[in-house]
Amino acid sequence: MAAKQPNEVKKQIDDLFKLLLQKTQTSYKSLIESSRRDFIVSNLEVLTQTEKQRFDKLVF
Amino acid sequence: MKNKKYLNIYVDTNVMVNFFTGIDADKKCLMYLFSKRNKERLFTSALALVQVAQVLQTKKKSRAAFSLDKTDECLKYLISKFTVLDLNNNDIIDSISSPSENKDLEDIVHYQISQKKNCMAIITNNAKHFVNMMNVNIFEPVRLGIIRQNIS
Repeated sequence: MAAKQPNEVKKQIDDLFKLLLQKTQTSYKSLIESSRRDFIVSNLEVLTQTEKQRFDKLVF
Repeated sequence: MKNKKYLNIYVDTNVMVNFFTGIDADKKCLMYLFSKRNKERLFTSALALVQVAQVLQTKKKSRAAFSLDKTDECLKYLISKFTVLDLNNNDIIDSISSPSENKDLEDIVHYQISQKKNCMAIITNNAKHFVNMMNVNIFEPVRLGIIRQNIS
C-alpha cells in the first residue's frame, strides 16, 4: 500500500496540471513554446558574438 | 516575488484597443498587469497611443467609431497606467536595418522602442510578428495562465 503512494501523488499532480490547463484555457503546445522562449531569453548570455552571427535571421 | 527577468513589460497597440472595445481576454490581461506592475514598470509608446486613437476613431462592423471625447478619455487612462516611450528617427532607422523576416515594420519599431527600457516581455495579439526577436518573450492576452506563470 505504501509503495503505491508516489504513483497516487504523481497521478494527482498530472490531474491537477490537466485541470489547470483546462481552467486557464492553456494548450500544452503554447506552454511548451513559452517555456522554450523563456529558456532562450534566460541563456542568451552564454553565446559569443560569433555564435550569434550564425543566426542571421534572428534579432538579439 | 516578482520575476526580475520580466520586470519591465511593453504592451502593443492591439491589446489596448481590445481593452477599450470590450474583448474579454485583453481586459482580463490588462487588469492583471495593472495589479502586478505600476506605471514605472509598464510601458507603451507614443506610436502605440496614436495607433490606439486612430483605430478607436474608426468605425468597424461590430461597433461605432469612438467620439473625440471618449478617445481622449481612453488616452488619458492609458497615460495614467503606462510610461509612454518616445518614438524618434533613430528608432525607425534601427528598425529598417534590423535583420528581420518580419515584414511588419510597425511591430519592429515597437520592439525597438521596447528595448530602450529593456522590456523582456511584450504583450501582443500579433505574436508571430515578434517571432525572430530572441531577447524577449512574447505573451498573448488569451494565454493569461502563461502570463500569470511568468509575470507575478
